[in-house]
Amino acid sequence: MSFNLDVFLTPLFSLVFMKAALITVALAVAAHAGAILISVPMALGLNSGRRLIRAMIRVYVGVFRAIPTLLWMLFFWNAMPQFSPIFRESWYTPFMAAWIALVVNEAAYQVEINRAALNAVDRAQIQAATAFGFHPLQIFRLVTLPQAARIALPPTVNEFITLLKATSLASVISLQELMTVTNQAVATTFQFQEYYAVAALYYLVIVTVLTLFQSRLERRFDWTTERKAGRGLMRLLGGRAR
Amino acid sequence: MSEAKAGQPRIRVRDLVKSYNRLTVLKGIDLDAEEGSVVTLIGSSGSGKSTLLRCLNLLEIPDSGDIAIDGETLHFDGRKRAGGVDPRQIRRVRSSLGMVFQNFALWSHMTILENVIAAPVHVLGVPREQAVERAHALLRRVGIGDKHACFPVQLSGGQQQRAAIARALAIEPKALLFDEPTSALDPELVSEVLRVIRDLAEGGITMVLVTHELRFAREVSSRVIFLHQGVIGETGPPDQVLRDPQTEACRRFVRSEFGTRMSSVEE
Ligand SMILES: Nc1ncnc2c1ncn2[C@@H]1O[C@H](COP(=O)(O)OP(=O)(O)O)[C@@H](O)[C@H]1O
Ligand SMILES: [Mg+2]
Repeated sequence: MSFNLDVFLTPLFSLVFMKAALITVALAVAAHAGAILISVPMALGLNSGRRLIRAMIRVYVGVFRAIPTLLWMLFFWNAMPQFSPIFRESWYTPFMAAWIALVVNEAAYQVEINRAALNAVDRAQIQAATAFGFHPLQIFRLVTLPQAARIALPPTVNEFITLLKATSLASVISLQELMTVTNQAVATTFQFQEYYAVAALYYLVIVTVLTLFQSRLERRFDWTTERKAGRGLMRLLGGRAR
Repeated sequence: MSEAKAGQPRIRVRDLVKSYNRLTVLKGIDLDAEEGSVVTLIGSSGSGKSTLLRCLNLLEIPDSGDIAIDGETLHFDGRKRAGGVDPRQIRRVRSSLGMVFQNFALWSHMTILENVIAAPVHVLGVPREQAVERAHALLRRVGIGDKHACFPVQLSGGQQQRAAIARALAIEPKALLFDEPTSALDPELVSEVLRVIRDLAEGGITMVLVTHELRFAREVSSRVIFLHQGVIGETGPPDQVLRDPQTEACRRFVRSEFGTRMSSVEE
């Protein structure tokens, strides 16, 4: 019944768990990157005047929010191969299926964050850029995007933490991420406490590191407080004005 | 004072009409700003001063009329999209006029230096080094040479507006457009901005200025235009329009403004 430190420490520093943690982080990062990539145009579409586009995005958001992520995981892994032989080929791994499921799901949440951030950008500053003859795409890249990105940063990191934990759902399709290897270990050893503690510690460390990184990032790109305004976002986003 | 500097017209507006939905704000405005002159627009709130200024750099597309900037004429026909004018031509006109806004509208995520070089680099294609060098000179000229690395939020209102003036000067504009540049400032910061504007006026930069600082307007203007009910209610040299208005509406306006606003640049 007592906690066995050896049984805890061995997997903690084992290659299997480290690799699983890496897969967990990689899946979350790749899924969030994909979700952001498709949710930015969706947010712009929601703000656009076209009623049909807005309606389509609303339907998308409604559908993907309503249906559990777990169901999407199972759907993309089990059902997609029945639609097309493409999904029976070797590239279609559990990682790919989980990635697609998380991207389409996360995009539905991220789109609202993006939209709120885009709407929060000061109109007067966009107008000033217009008045100086900037092309609309330049205005987006040089003014709207950097400011919206800063506004969206805290809620986006929150989303990422939720997403990181949602990768554990991929254990149902046997992706070798943290929860899967944990479940496999306890299934043979019945050392529940130790292995669950290992998994918990991994998640805790990942999220803590991320949170520290977030507050650094927020301070670095803080141009809204008088104390210390940040530098370097323009460089980060490829703008040349410095 | 500046009538002597008059030369070729930098800005020429003919029969400008602009309406929002059913409200016709400008009902046929003519305006000429000769090179080196200062044309001041006055009028009560809602009389269309901002609208006229925004039409000049095409932030608003006029319904009809002609606008010529340094000889390049745009003819507007409100039935067509963008008034029938090519978007590239619109951007070219915009980048030839420097606009200064009431609320500064500096880009808050850029340093003051970045603000000043952004349009030269990204719109006009000026080499970065050259733009930076010029920006430093302009910031010194408006008295904030040491603030180049600050973000706008770190500056006082007066400093921000001076940075905005430097930003407008950085594109080497054919003319500067000021929309109530001191209205958002605390009273003690007004004079430092007016002093910069006066220096520019005396330096021969063409300006169209919207202001409620009538005392200042009398000092720097070549010509004053009183907008009233969508048309030019009165126009002439500042001493005439501001001291001895010919129309009842202008007389009433000037009297009420002088009654409430007293600030000016102390000599
Ligand atoms: N974008 C707009 N849409 C509708 N009405 C507007 C818009 N901008 C200005 N107006 C109206 O046009 C009139 C003139 O406004 P404005 O040019 O801002 O006046 P001023 O600058 O002289 O105070 C006002 O009645 C104002 O309500
Ligand atoms: Mg106005």
